[in-house]
Parts: sequence; C-alpha cells; structure tokens
Amino acid sequence: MPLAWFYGSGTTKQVTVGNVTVYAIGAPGDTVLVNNQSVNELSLPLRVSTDRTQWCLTFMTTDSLFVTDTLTLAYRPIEYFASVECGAMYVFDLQQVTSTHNVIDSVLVTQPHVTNVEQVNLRIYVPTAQQ
Amino acid sequence: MRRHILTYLLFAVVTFVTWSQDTTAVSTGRHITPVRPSTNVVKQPGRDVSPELIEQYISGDTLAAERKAREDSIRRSYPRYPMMTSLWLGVNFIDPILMAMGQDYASVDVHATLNMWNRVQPTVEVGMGWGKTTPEGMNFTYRAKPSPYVKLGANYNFLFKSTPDHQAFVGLRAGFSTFKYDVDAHYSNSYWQEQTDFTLRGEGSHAWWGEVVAGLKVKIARQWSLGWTARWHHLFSCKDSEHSQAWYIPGYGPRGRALAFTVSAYYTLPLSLDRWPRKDSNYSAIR
Repeated sequence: MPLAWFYGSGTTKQVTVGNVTVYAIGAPGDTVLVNNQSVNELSLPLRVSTDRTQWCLTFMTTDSLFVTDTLTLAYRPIEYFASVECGAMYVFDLQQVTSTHNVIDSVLVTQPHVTNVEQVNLRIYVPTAQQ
Repeated sequence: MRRHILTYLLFAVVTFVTWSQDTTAVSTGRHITPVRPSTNVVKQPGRDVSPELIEQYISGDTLAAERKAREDSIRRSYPRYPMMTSLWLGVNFIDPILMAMGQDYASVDVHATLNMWNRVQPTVEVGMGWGKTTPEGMNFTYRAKPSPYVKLGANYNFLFKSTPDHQAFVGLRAGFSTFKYDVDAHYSNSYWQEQTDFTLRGEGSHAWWGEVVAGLKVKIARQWSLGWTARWHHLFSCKDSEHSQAWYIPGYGPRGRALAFTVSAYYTLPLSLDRWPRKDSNYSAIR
C-alpha cells in the first residue's frame, strides 16, 4: 500500500501532525484508519476492485477547528507474485494524485510504483505552526 | 805439458757446468702423472635413455643433452594418457528421489564428458526441471512447468597420474534455461473486506548462471561408475515480468539458493585404448 509522509510546506523536513483523523470514502463500516492521533506518516490501503480511492483527512487547526481535505488516488492495480516468502499480492501504478487545499498545501508523488517494499510514495505538504 | 793440463781442466769445467744445468731442468719443470687404471671407468648410459640423447652427449652439446634428459625424466615420472582417453555418458538421478521424499522441485539431466589426457574434461549437460509448491500459511500455489536447461563447462582431474577409473575434479559451468510457470493466488484485504482469486498463467522467463563444481567419480564395476558433485552457483541474470518473479529455475534450483548437489551414474567408453600406458611400463616416480 502507498506510504505517505507529512512535510512542512516549503521544507524537506518530515513533520508530525497532531489530532489527525483519516478514513476512506466507501470503506465497509466507515472504518477509521487513524482516529484523532499524532502521526508523521500514513499507509493508505487501496481498493483492488476499482481504479480510484478517496481518503478524508481531518486536521485540527490552531484555532481548535476541524478542517477536512480529500485526497484522491487514481491507479492501476496489478496482480503480482513476489516470492515464496512474500507470496501473491496486488501492486499499483499511481497515475494521478489530487487533493483539496483546505489545509494541505500540496501533494508530491515521489515513487509512483507501489509494491510490498517499504518506500515513500507521497509527500503531503502542510503548513506548520511556525509558518 | 803445462798446455795440455790446462786444456784438460778447461774441458772438465765446461763438461761439469753443462751436466749440472741439465739436472736442474728435470727437477723443477717436468712431471709425469702416472696412469692409474682404476679411475678409467667407462660409464654406461642410464635405463631408457634414448639413442638421440646419447648422440647429443657424444657430440658435445651438453646443455641440450641435459635439457632433454630432464624432459625425459619428467615424462617417465607418471603415465601419459592420449588426448582422447575416454568418453563418459552420465545421468543425474538424485532429484526425483528427493522429490519423492518431499522436495518441491526436481531436475534430471544427461551429460557427456570427454576425458582428455586424463586431465582436462570438457562436458555438456542437458536436462529438464520442474516443480510445484504450496507453502503452508501462504496464499498461492506455484507450478513450474517442465522446462529445459543446458550447461557447458570443463573439469580438471587432480588424479591424472592415476588410472582413469577414479576421478577427483573441480570445474566450471555456464548454465542457461528458458522456462514457464503458473501461479494461482488468493488475495484478501481486511480494511476493504475484499477477497479475490487470480491466476498468473504462462508466465515466462529465462536465466543464465555460473557454477563452480567439485566432485568424485569412482568405478563400480566394468565400465560403470558412480559420482557426486557439489555445486556453488551464482545467478547472472533472470528476467522478471510485470506480474511476477520466478521462484524455481530449472538446472539452478530455487532462486536465492547458492548450493546444489547432484549424484550421477556413468558409463565409460574407452578411446584410443592402444595408446594407453601399459601396466608393465617402468615408471620411476609413480605412487
């Protein structure tokens, strides 16, 4: 699944974002991936029966307001056999990543091919308190 | 009277002086070494010394004679086999037995080895490999279809001084295989509660690798022999597809495994038998 790190806007430093809630639109039972926690990275499982998945990221601002952005990933799922140790899985080619900009400044795709090897695929830039 | 006496005296003096000079020359310059018959021994040429070598010594070309004598000595120190000593035909049979005992893969190959000078042995191996695995706790079944492989290489026999019946060798191989496989898989995702089955059918690949081998071959009876070979191999290249990486490579084994072991039965065809060294030959340094 794609791995996304949070970065401070205009910097190359990874940041920790507090009070974040993350869930996928259409997930069975409205399953929450991250529930009001401080995180510096997100692993976003993608649906294999379709070519698009949307994630809602709710941030708490410095004014204690909750603001939500929607992250949309368009991709091509690929059936894949990695090895006897890792087994069979799906890998993905990210084709387009977009987001709203209520809090998120921008999103950068650093590695469009998503495999079972842990590597950063997305950078989500957010303004920090100092900015 | 007086004149006669003086003449006689003068003659005596001259005669004495002349005689004394002769005696001194003999005592200071001329020596004769007596001949002792016991030192005059005529040495006989050694055993198996060729007539050409004797001629060289007689002609006075001592350096060439000594060089030839050294070469002849080395040549006589162990038996020399002809360039085409023998031909072995072998079959590697251990893998099917191991597969019957639980191994997930097997290969069988036939090989031909030309024994040259009982020392250098070029060889070719041709075989088929196949496999199937469903690891416990995993979500797939991998089927490697029977596919061919070929290896080319050569051995060096350390026991070249001994009979060709027994061999202890090291060698090199270059191997190549082109093969196909299928994968049946079951995928599930707990977050999305998705479950789906998929099949990767007819996945194809090819690979080539190098091997360093070491082994023994021992005569059992008549022209039949048995032998084993330990192989350390290194994969140079294996083509991966968009949908998979190969697990099993025929002739190589499971990807990522560096060591392999084969057991073979051989049938030996002697060649140039009339030029093999005779058993009653007189070799000075055979052990």
